Amino acid sequence: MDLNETLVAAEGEDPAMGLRAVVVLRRLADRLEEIHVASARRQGWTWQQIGDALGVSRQAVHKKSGR
Amino acid sequence: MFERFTKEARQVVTTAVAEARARGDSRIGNEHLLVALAGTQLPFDRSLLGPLDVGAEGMRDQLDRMDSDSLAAVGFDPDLLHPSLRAAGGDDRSRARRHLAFTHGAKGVLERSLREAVRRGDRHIGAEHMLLSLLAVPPEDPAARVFAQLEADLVTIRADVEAALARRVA
Repeated sequence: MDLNETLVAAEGEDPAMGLRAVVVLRRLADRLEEIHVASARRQGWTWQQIGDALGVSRQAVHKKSGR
Repeated sequence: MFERFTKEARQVVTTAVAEARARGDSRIGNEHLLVALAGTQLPFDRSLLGPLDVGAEGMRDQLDRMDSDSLAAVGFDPDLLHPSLRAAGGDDRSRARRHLAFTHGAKGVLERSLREAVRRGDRHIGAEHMLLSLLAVPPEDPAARVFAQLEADLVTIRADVEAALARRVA
């Protein structure tokens, strides 16, 4: 079974768990973003470069993690 | 609506807010109220809670288990995550500034705790009323999932708690 089939198979399961997984993955993505934006800043990346890498505007990333 | 809450009940609410923040969640849900209640003094012997008597740390483990199980349910192996990312949490200073709202389900539990107090003829809303209210969450609520994980017999726990509270008044 490939990944897509696995994901589709999961559709029929408990929606509460599927929706929870979405929340958990979002939270995980937020944490990874915090960690790696901070790491990029320490290594001298500009907000522009980080924004481009994340596919968002410079302002968006600065607003979210800037200090 | 918090003016009739006892000191303990208010503490449960503020602890739940802090818990949601610490986990990196965007809303305060019944699972956070559950962790807060697990670390609060109750007006009866905690052993009456049976399998739910796991303490705040034990409840946090249950939330982490629920999160891992949900990832597994959609075909994502939680063991692939770096150990530091497996449990919820992290250090985010921007998070501390964010305003968190209660989920609809958690608002329902807070409102129902008022009704539990009224039903029992109690003037104040205490942690015990919040607990009775939490025991009645619908099956799709995260708190219900935790009850199922712990294999808690909610009917028996409710009856035991009600009996203990009735004895206290008598």
